Amino acid sequence: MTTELATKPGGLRIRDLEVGLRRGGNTQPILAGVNLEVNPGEAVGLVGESGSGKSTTARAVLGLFPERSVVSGGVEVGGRSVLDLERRALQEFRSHEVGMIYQNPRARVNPLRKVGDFMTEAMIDSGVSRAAARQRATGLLQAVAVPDAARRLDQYPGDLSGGLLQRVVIATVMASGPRLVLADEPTSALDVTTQEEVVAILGKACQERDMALLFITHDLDLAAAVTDKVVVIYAGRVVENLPSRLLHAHPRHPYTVGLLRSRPSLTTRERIRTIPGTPIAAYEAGPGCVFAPRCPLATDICLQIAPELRRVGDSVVACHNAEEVDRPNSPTEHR
Amino acid sequence: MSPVPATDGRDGPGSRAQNLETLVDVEGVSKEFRVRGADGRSTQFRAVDNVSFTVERHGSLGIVGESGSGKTTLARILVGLEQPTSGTLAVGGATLDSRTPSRKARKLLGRSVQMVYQDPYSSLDPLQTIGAGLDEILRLRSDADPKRRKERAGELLEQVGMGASHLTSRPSQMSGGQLQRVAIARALACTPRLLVLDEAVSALDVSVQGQALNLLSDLRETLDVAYVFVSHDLAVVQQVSDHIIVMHHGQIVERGRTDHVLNQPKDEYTKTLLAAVPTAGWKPRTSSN
Repeated sequence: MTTELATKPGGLRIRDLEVGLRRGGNTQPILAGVNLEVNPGEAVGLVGESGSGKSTTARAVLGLFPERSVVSGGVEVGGRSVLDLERRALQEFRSHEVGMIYQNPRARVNPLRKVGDFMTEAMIDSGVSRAAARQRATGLLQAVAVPDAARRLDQYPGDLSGGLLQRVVIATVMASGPRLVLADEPTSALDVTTQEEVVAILGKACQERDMALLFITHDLDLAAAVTDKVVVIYAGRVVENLPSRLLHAHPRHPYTVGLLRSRPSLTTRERIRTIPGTPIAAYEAGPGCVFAPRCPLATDICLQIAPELRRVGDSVVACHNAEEVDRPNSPTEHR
Repeated sequence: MSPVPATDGRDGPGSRAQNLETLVDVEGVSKEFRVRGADGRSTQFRAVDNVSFTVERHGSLGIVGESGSGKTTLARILVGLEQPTSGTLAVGGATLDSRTPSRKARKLLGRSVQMVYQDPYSSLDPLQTIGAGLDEILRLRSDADPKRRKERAGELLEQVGMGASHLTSRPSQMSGGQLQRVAIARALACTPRLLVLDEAVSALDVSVQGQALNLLSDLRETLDVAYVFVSHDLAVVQQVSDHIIVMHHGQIVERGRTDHVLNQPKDEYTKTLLAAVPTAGWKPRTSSN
């Protein structure tokens, strides 16, 4: 496992990213401090609830920002600063350097064009012959375990199930050979058995090609299973970054602990120890820690001073009381 | 046909022991839809295939399965939104079969069976205040005067963990978790015997979903209400149901006490389903390798 700071060139590096919306004379924050790195061949999970800023982060990596937004910080892919790219270079970057996989594959492919046309379009554009492109597409579909690969090229998206279509999208992304793959809730619309196939295929495909994978999801357990590291985001800020294998054993942020406790178990029924209240948006945050109003460990300092990200054990965590945080199964609750 | 017994649905918790009576009795229910095949010809598709089960008064049954398993069609039959093609369905004294017109079915079942849907945003009128919405239901379902109805609306909101101050709120001012609580309050307004919850917590954020599950447990502790909880999420079903049926291609492939089925599944499909759920230490596998 690579260490945090020794980032190889080629991956994704987001430093102190802040995005705000100008509203009248004020700026309303959407992202208020996102830091994360994904090395080539590595998979990182970005986990958060709705409104936490996970999709805004993904769009920022593509250099896509809402209108009238104020952006600061850095986004680098393969050592190039995305925020400084000119229009042409940005287009080039989006089509060749980054691959996107979204929640609903049906919304991303033209239903009136055959699967083969969708897959070979970019290849033919770049000068590959039609026959060679079709052969390559067949191979790519086989690589993502699509049965009857050759026949699929002449089918329409409507003929394919959601799981198969998502594999077609993954194969198409692989074809362009990006450095970085952004997968935004790629399996949330799929059944669990299909989800298992798709995440296994996606993880393997990226690893084999040494691509960096940023896997965005609301599902902590899924993120931990698919990735090497998990980054937890809340109210537009990264609150914890830890190795996935330690997620269940040694979470260090009370929010991570709370999320783990909030999910019911498959095998035993106990009353759920919930996080009180509802998630807040970045612009609703006070001067202190964003999680303080919902946190069982919050002290006076938490309400006044926002904690910086710091290393505690194997985590990088933004919490004044990270040393106090116990394992999810421990009985400790309020102080 | 006898009307639904007049019960106020507010029996004290002590009366639960003698409540082992059957509330829902589904017998050999099937539902076929006409669909157009790939060749353009119309064929019959059997969404629910000869399904039988019972739910005890105050019980809780989980129905799990993947998309296309027939679980939502079954839920819709239970509330009278779909007419079964064959079989019978008895809920709290009202009996329905394939010949019962759906309007009549809704009328028969309306008071005793209520449904909570997945998406609270699309199941509430954006222009109506929460109080007005509750009042409308109470006006239709009871003969209480306006003052009493307003009190009752406030009680209902408190029952789902919200203050009466929300009576004047509109859906756009509330979070998804709050709206789902409102949807539950609305379903409880006419003191139903059975709540059919179709993926009712699936759209909620994890931290809010836990709160909603605890609320559902609490409500069943205090009210004389039974649940049929339909979901693809096995852990969520584990949390709220005593019995479970596993559906696959319209048929029940396994049934039993929830803890038995989830801890010692017998059916191959149930095993596959359980093995695909991400938990601590789980690694995804493909069937091809």
